[in-house]
Amino acid sequence: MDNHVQLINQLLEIKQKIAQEKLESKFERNFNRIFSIFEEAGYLIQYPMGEKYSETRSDYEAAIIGQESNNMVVSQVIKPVIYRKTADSANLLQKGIVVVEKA
Amino acid sequence: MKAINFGIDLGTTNSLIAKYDNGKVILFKNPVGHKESLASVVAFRKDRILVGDKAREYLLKDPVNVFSSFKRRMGTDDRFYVVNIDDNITPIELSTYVLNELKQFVHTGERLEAVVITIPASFDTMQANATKRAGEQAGFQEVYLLQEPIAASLAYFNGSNEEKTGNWLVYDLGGGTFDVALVEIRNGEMKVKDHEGNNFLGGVDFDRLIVEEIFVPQIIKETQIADFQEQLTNKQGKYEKFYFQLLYQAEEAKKELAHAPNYEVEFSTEINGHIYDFVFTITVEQFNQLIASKIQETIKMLQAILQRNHLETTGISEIILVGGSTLIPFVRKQLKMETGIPVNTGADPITAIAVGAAFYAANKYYNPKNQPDSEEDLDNLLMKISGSSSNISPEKEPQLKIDLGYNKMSREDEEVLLVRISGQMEKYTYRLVRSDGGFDTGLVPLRSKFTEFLPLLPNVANSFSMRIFDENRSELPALAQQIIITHGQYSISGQPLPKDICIEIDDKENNVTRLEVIFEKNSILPLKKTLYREISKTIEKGSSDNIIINILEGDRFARSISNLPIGCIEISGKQLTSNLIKGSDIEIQIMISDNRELSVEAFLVMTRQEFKNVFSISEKHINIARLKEQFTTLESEMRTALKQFNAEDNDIWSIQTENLLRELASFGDDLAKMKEKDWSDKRYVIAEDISRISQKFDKIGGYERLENLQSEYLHNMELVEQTLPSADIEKESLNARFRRLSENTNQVLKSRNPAILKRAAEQLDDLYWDILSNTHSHLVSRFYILKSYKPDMYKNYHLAQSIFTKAEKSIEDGRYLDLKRILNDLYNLMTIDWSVYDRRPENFKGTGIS
Repeated sequence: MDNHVQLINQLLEIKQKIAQEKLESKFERNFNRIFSIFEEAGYLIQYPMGEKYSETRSDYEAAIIGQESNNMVVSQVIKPVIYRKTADSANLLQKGIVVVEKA
Repeated sequence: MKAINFGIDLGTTNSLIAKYDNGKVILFKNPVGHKESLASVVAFRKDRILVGDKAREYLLKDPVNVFSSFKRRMGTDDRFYVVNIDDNITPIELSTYVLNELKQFVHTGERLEAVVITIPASFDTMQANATKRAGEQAGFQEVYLLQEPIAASLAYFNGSNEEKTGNWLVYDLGGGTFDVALVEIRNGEMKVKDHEGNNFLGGVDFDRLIVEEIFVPQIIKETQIADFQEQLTNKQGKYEKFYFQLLYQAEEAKKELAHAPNYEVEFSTEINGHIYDFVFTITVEQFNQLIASKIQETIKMLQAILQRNHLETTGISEIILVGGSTLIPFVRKQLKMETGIPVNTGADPITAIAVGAAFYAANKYYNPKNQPDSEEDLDNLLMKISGSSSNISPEKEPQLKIDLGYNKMSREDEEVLLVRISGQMEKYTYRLVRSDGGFDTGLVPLRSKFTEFLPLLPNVANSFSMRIFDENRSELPALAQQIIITHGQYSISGQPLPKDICIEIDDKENNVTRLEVIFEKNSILPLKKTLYREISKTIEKGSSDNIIINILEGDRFARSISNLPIGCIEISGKQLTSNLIKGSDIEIQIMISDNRELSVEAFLVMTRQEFKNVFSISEKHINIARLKEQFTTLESEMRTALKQFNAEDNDIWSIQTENLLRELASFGDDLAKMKEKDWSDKRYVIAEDISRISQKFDKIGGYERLENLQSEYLHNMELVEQTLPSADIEKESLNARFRRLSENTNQVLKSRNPAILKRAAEQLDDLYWDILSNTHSHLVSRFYILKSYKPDMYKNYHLAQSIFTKAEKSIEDGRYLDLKRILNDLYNLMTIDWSVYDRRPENFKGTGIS
């Protein structure tokens, strides 16, 4: 796997841990900067936390928790979705892994 | 007769498609998600049919509409009642869905008329016939079946020139099933003599064991939750969500332990309102112990085959490995240790069956039913060129009229697509897929009028394909539609920027400033961007030195003075809470609102100070010190150009430049006297005039001057390319410098701006001379030239002579770095004023940002 993709996965894991400790605001500036560096290098990172689940989104694999419903949201992101921009389009580098449940 | 070439591994859990092409086998990737394999799962959702990974998501939650492992039911009269479609479906029909989906992987545009499909060795005639029917229903005119152990053997043996004869064991341990087969090769003929298997033994069982036997006890120990296991694995139990996280961790651990002695499991989670951090290590020994009994079970089956066939282990040439779980080193080790039979690991166990099927297909032929005539061949060729796939003959295309309505440009996260269809469309389906694989509607019944919400990736052209399928799920290529929606730019709803918005930053190498684009011309308002830059000079607390954030509107390639300053923040040493060190970071956030109001926020990371300003673009903001520097840079550029025009006897250009220089000089005195505190209109008037002169100067000579400068630039580029390989000292840094300069070639040539071209040509010229001064032979010849100068060329010829002796000694000893230094000493001893050759302006202050 692309080393940068692994690096992004690790950074998002750290970000999640910091959020759990409610220290997110302290590091917001640093994370924005880090992710802007990746963005400049052509990586498009999507963190679908809280987004409405759609069965047409084939850029993540979802584990459905509890009762299936028409109104499900992403409640946990285990791996983010990562695209790489080319000249004017994008390629999917990593499928996301998410948990979805009834909103 | 035509070779089949295509092979399909129609697996219980995953399927693959491969093609033999000129001695090599190509595995086709899923255009959705780009995996090589397709999950053998079909989901009948309320309004669409999904096949593959997306279908698998519903497997546990919607078992009455989602089907997997139907391969085991092939050849039975089982019918599955599908609630959502209120109909029964057979295992053959489900397999047809998988086969049709695999056909979509083939991006080469070929017609798939015949195929080899693999079946387990255990399949009886009924099951084999059922597989064949599934292939026929998927539109294949000719279907050949091949037993999986034979396919795997072909993948291992093809490529070896050695004549094989004897017995082999094919050990297939996949994600969910296990099979072992005895394959005999006699007189070049291969056959499966015996087999054994367990349909519920594979990699997923190992993952579950890791969770239940290693993770759960650790978690119970730390959380003291007695019923954790029960709540974790019960359907809709309290910790069901956590179970998937653990399964994912288990899979990661399994992969890592294939090549590391231990794996550190680390995750945090909230249980009953308390955050737990779990950190524990799994060793490879623990993992091996965990799966040992399962592996032993497989080995027993292998031994049973040997016993039944009265074979000693010495009677088996090799064990061939198939399936992802055979990548586990313990499996390989145990097989070798317990049986003593050599284990062949020469092929990829995950793809071996599909690869073997393609090898087999290369030697199987079929008669195409409709032998294409030359005209049809041309159609086929055109279709290949356009990239559309076709599994159906053109005469079957129905009369359908499709009208699409959508915005071609958008700034939304999704766009709505309106589709109107007229004509006979009963039992037809459509499918919309985004080309990057991130969106797929699955198969949806076609209606006369419908909408689809298309999710868009930011700032790229989002390309979607809409394909129509008939009642047999064969594509109707003539009806395919291409939809391209460009996200981010040129929206008709927003107001576009008329010119580039740039920031002025320092180019310390050349003691000038240059423009860096923040927002490109035609970007749609409102806009926001954060720039991360470094401070290019140290600014002491309390000093009057400053940083200038100068935002300009105009052409990014032009000189900064030619552009319109629309916003400026000056941060002086007097405002700093501590010294600001060169190299420390500055974050600049720039926003332009819908009504073109510019806001600039600067944050100095070192002093943690924030500076904000909002500008209305109707006002200009000009810093006098910066204006003076810009004046000097322009004047010096014009003087250099004048010298060159004179040298080239280009009288017209010289006169025009002289006139402009005179005009420029007329503002010199006023500007020199002007103080920063002057709040009169004068600064704006002068800035405007200088800007006008700068633009006029760029236009002198028109196309011819541009041509000359372009050829000067390209000539210098060629010189550098030729001399670079001969450099002996500092080769790497010179190469890096050249790479940096040549990266911009395209932009420099496209700029059509004399100032940019001139500067780029000069940078290459400087590099050329630096290469020479790092080349041994050049240093030597330069020394002899300096030595040949008359004594009056040196300030102190006596001292020069003693340096000559030192230099000769250095040449003799091959000490060229010393020679380089000595040459510099000699230059300094000469009576020539070298500073006039330095192109860089003196006392450059710049913006303080690089």
